[in-house]
Amino acid sequence: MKLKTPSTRGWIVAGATAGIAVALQYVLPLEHHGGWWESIPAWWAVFGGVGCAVIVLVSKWLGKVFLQKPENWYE
Amino acid sequence: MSSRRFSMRPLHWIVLGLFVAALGVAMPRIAAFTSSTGSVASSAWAADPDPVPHDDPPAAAHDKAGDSHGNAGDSHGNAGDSHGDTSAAHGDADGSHGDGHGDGHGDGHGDGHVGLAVFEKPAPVNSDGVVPPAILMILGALLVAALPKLLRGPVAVLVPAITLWYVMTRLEPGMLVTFDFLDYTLHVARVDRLSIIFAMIFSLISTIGGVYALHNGDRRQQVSALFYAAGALGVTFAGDYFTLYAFWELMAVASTMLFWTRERPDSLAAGNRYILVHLAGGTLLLAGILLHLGNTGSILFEHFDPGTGGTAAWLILLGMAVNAAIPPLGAWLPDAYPKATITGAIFCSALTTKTAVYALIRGFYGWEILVPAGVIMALYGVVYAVLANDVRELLAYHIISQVGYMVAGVGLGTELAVNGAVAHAVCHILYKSVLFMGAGAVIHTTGREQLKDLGGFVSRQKLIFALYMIGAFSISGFPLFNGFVSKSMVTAAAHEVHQNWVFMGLMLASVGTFLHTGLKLPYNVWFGEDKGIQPTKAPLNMVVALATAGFFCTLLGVRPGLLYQYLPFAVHWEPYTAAHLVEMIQILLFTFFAFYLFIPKLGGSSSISMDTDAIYRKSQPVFRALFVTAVGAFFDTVQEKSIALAEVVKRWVGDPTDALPGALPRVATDEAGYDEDRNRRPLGVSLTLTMVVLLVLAVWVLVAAR
Repeated sequence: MKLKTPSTRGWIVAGATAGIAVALQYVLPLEHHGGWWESIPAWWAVFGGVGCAVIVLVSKWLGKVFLQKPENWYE
Repeated sequence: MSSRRFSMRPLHWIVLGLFVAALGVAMPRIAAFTSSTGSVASSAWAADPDPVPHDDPPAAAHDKAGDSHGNAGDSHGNAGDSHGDTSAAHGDADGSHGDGHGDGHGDGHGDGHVGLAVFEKPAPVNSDGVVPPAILMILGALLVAALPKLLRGPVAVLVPAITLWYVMTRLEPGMLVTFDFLDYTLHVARVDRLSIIFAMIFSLISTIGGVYALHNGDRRQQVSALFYAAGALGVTFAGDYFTLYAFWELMAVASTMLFWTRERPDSLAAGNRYILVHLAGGTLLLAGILLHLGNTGSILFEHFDPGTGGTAAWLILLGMAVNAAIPPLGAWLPDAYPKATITGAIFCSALTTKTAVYALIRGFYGWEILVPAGVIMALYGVVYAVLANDVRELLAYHIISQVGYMVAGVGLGTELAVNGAVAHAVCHILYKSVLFMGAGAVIHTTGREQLKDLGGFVSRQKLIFALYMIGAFSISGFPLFNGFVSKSMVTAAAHEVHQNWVFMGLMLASVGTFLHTGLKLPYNVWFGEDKGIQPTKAPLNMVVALATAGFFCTLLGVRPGLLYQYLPFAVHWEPYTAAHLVEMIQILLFTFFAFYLFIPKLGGSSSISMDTDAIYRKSQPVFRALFVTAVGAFFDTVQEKSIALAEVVKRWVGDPTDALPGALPRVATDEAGYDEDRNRRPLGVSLTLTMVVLLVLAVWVLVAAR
């Protein structure tokens, strides 16, 4: 499946939403966890995006080298 | 691909709308929070400035963990009120658990440590006339078995509904129903706050499951489902190990019927594997119980102090771990659940693993090994869900992932963690039933269950899709949905005791949860390439059941107090804080963006994923050769040799006259050519032989007698 770029409107919506989500962190008066990660800007945004990528890539890699078998593997 | 750009837009707006609504709901609470910053405490997102009122004083509300905690009761009353205050002590339990986490984290938490929770034994309450809820359910199952088709469906809904009413109105902590059996007194119904909340959710989901199955008149499934629910309730109220074991096995047998009754070859085979694994798990449990009985003389089902209990405790833990689907013992779950009947899968997804979680809380909270086990589970399910191609297999792997949160909570063992495990079990049962019901409706209306065969028909199934998404938002922890108020309790509990790697592991798993159940599955089922699928209309009862469960998911999301009031410990924790909201919004949004990039990698494919069930499935030919073919061949050989030997012996011990010169060949009396005069042996020869033998014997006796 070929990846298709979103329309201009799609990009604007995505960018604005992402911007608001990150900006909220600095606009709202937040209590603090006390974790080391709080010093990293937009930590949870990075965590969500990179985490998702890591999950997909690592799982796919594991599937390729080890876990995925043909459908009739047990027959 | 043009359909994708069009199709993603509604989802986009739904997500945005929900975030905005969540912020609106949360703003007053945020304002209240920021105006009382003096009360900010050490739990991850804040102690609740306005905790949910808790009617029962803790001292009267809970079963005690064991004799060693007996003296902790006094301090517990204080701890409940000052949970956020990290100097709160929990009696002698601190020594065994809290110290491990307390030191070396100068990160602004103040700090001391948060100790192991202490379940207090409720004061005894008059239990005359109390019927164990499992008995109600069993009687209902027998009734349903006898009824005609028209009545079976409605009664199968009424029975769990009545049981729910009975649990909520007639049972109260402190009740105890006993039954004398052989030399033992069985505690067939021990009622406390922990058992009541689990019984409530089991009864509720059985009622909803009954509605979902109304169109299905299969007597075997209806009766099995009720027996299965009876087993779950029996385990929930079991105060002794014999009762526990009996209902544990009832669950295993009754649930197996929900696979076999699908009557497809793969379902029959999966059911066979399922029952064998569960019987093996049950055997571990029984071995532990008997060993425990031998060691202590007690059959009462009580908490094992962490690190004590020896082999018996470990065997019991292993038996329970099989049902909780803790890897590597949990491959039975994604193996079997996708092959259950459409309606049976709802009961499966709700009952087996959650009764195991209940049993783990009761027996093993605070066992630290459960913490890494839970995190591994949470991530393990996520990895496999990426690879899953079957709709319900993906959901099944996410049961493992979600139960991981509960298992980790049990292992952490603090009040917040145990509350989180219980709350998440309740929420999980609700949203997972929505997901399985949605997936079931797709299978029912399209006849397809592989992601690669589905796609592009959202415009023809909007309602089912919308209801499914309630479950997807809930499991993903969207604000306003129940996962948001329960999952975060466990992660906050991990943070509270400074287990940051646990916290991060579970947060990563929640990214994967949204990725799969919230994005990958709905995208591949309803969006993506249009495969020209024309779904039939889903039965009304299916839609009603979906909507009911979805209603409860949302209700608990917006009114978490309704759930918190039933938790075993007083709740001093507030999910709707600014920090938590911002955190989840960022995680969910950016997961969504990353998903958008990875759509091509997340389609269905023609493959299966190897799990630990490969050990017994692939080795099946070896075991068959060893225990069936080899044993059969051995017996065949023995039989052959025995017959050959008998032939030889017969030749030697047969009628000696055959060997005489001139003996005629033997001919049977009914054979042609038999002549009485020619073929019958002369009587004289036999008499002579007999007399000779007698003479020899007589001589020998005389000689011997001398």
